[in-house]
Amino acid sequence: MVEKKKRERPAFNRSIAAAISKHYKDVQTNKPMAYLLMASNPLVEIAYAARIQPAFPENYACACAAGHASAGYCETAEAYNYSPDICSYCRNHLGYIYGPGENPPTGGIGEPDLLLITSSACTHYFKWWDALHEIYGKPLIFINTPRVMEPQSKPDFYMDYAMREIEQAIGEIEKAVGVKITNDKLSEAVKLSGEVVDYWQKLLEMQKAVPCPMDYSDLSNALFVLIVLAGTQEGVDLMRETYNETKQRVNEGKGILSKDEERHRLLWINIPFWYKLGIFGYFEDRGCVFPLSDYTHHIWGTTRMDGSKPIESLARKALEGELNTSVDDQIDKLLKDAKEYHIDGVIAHSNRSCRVLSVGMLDAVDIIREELNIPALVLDCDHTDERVYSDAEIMNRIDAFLEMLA
Amino acid sequence: MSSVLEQMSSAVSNAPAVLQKMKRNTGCRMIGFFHPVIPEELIYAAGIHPVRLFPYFDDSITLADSQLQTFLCSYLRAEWDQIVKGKYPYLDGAIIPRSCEAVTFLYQTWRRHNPYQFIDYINVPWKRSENAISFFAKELGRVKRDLEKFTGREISKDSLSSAIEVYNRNRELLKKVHDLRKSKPPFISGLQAYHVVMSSFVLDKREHNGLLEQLLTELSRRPQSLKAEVRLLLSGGCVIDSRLWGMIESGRAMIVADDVNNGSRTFWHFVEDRTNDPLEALAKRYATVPCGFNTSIADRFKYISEMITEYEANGVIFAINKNCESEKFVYPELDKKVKDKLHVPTLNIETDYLIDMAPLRTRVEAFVESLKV
Amino acid sequence: MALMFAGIDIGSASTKAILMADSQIISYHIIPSGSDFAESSQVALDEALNKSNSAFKDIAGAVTTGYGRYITEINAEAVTEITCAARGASFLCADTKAIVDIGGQDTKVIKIGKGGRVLDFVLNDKCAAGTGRFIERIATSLGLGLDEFAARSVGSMTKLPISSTCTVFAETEVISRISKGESLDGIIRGVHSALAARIYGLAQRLKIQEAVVACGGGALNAGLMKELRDLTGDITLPPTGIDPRLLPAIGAALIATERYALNPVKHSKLSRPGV
Repeated sequence: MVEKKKRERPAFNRSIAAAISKHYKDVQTNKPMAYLLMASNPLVEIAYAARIQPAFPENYACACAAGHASAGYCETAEAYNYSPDICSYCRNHLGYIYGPGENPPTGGIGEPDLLLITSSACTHYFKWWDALHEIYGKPLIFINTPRVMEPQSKPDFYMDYAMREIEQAIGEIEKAVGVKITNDKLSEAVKLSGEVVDYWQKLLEMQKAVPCPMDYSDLSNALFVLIVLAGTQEGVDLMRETYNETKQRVNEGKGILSKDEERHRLLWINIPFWYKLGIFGYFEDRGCVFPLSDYTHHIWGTTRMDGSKPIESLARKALEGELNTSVDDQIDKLLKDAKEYHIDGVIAHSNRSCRVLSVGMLDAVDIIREELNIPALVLDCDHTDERVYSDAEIMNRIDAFLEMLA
Repeated sequence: MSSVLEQMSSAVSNAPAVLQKMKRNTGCRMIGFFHPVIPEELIYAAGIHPVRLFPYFDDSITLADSQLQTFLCSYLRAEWDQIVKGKYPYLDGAIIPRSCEAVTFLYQTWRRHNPYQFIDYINVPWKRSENAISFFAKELGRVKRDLEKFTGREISKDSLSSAIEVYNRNRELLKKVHDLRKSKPPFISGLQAYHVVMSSFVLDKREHNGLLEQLLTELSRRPQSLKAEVRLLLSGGCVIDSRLWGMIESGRAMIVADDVNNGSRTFWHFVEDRTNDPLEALAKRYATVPCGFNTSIADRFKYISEMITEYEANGVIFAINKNCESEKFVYPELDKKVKDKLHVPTLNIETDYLIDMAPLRTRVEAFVESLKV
Repeated sequence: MALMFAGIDIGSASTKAILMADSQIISYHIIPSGSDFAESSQVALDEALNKSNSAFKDIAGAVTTGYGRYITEINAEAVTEITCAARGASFLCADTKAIVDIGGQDTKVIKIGKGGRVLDFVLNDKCAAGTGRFIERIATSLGLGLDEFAARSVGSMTKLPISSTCTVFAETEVISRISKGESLDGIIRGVHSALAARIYGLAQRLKIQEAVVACGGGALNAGLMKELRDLTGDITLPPTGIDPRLLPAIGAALIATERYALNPVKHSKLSRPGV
């Protein structure tokens, strides 16, 4: 059997971990607090501009999964009639609400004063916030964005609609919390968010280096900064630190694996198994790294933000992220990036919870396999509900795939 | 049974043959679509026959697995399976709404695997605000231009207005039929009402209007003798399996009202074109259709509670298809409201494509027994 | 004398041990896996050794495979049954392009290139309706043995389709239909046909059209094979005399042979408790 190695992680992970634990303290104490969706969400910057503390139940689901608490929460939600067909992020949170238990991970996520939602991801989220609105009776403010099915020929009135929706939401938020969101404050938040995005884009670019400087869990840690802290100086500072360290690693030729160890560069499609992030270590022990994933590269952080045009920037953010576009858009981006990141194999997580990233995936995998002539493995699983995961079955498929690559 | 009802139910069960024959006789183009949120008038005004797509209950799903995972709606998978197998030779294309993700993303799958057909999508808003409706009207304008390009013929304002007229007449008549279920006992059974509505998805609307008029006359002359000790409201998304409607009504219960895609949601609201702007009028009407994906729990509860009161339902059956996440997500809170605020008992059953009715029958019978006074 | 190599396939349903030398099968043994994989792998290997009058120390190298490949105390290299089955199939029929392996736990479709190299593979998703368990459960609930169950399917002129794709619901459906007086054999054929359709759908995902070899326990079921042939003409069984369940074990023994040739020192340290 292959030896399991302990690898030294980049130091920025510690700073991010500190930011995460600060965030979970803030959501308990800061008021007013609003629930927000992670997706490519224009409401994050607006919340910071309005001095509203944002909290992210999806991120909380990841934290619960990592702490192996999700299966229990999903079961509780099911006992309250939420079907296993519903996304496990939602079930995790609803289960937490109905039965948090004595020691919820991170100390819990608190009760919101406000519910802010966009349709730029999927129906589950929209329904989720609507259920929360019923449960908590707190104001629900909803930005409806059209799905961009054909990014190449996006009609102009899509932008108009998104901008008007955002303007209207700003008015509703001002009314709900009694704060004026001035242009200056909004511009500042959008400008800071733009700086985070710029560092993020440079960071992703560096994943092209051989050996690959970061692994998938480092990148998904940095996603916390990109999404949750978008619009804050703290976010800019953390992303800069992450970028600087990674740049230094690249300059020194330092990778997660050494240049000799790195034998395969794989593409991961869809969300990881949050309860089993160790799987990336398993791959690394066998010479495989993941420099590219739609989840890290294409869903968020793709829109350049301009502080002088805040509403327009936020509208573009809402429309352009891959969760608000289409399968063809996903395939085009993956085909292009797979070449640039020197990808030679694909692991695709057919994630029963995430329809928006899984419907059409079988076609996507077929096309990538044929166009790039690289092998691909589809794993049927779930991002948070650990009960769906079967170690023997998943590892057997991965082992066979690795044997095929060798 | 009335001869008109027989005609309607045969149009539903023989839909492929009926449509094939219509195609041969008239040579008209046909476009398929999902959900009651696609403004059919637009298709109709283009001189194209709109066909609401449902799978036929006759074949197991084999080929669809290559494109659609088994955790997606089985009705949609069956539908796609039958499309891939070439069972809809009369279709010239489809329009896909932005609804649940399984349906929405079929747009590109369809285009990839049936590249020679017309294929379009409509961004149906999930909101009923002024912003949303004005956006929707522009979106319909885009689709209108796509359809004009496809047929090579302009869709005039007049043809749109006259399509709206035909469709409003259809809604009016369907509502009259639906209202026959208000009386005690109802003048028409749920299963019969199912066939009445489902046949409107197959037949030409003018022809269907003629049949509806005949049916109303027939039923007023010779009322049926039906029995309904227990009056039920049926709620769900696509409750399209006729065996389920028949099974529920095989005992002492009758479905007196429904809140389903292939039922009242289709005809409940009228198009009101007050400003002579048909696209805006269509947008307003179709943004209001209370489907699972675009409607809040509060709005659904309003819709359902008015119906429960008006049609004097003693119980509600939620029949939701496996993996229909929009409906399943609304269910827990909606169910709570129906029980707590209206004090009406409910039953939840899960349907599936080609499901065996026996286990469902046990649940339904026990529920009906519990409701009997 | 040629060196002897062992392939041990510890599957969820049965454990197979095979001994090969000079690319020839010397002996093999198949037993139910039971709940103790370590025990069953020892027993199967001992029986195979007995049959060929040889001893553990005579084995030059071995590879374990199957779900229990790590849960054995025989200290051999582990390779997945997907790689092994492909190797085994191509050894038996050189022009094999694909395998359909219908096991108890899962159904696999494997696309094969030159020399038995795996080009691509798919497995059924998490649902017993796509595996041999589907047939097994329904046979058991009717109180019929698997052989009789298959024979009745082959003998039936009619085919009554089973509508439920869920194994549990299919069981109740079958029983309620039989109690209504529908043809038992027609229903049994419907059960086989339902599984064949799902396997066919899986194979379609790899767009496989030619030279398929069936293996695994499911390949022993004549009823299932007949329905599969109705869907896809070009599906064959391994050559006469070779139990279709043996393919991964044969592949494992062949891989052991190759690895030994590359590095005799590394690949010959075979041990087990007490030896």
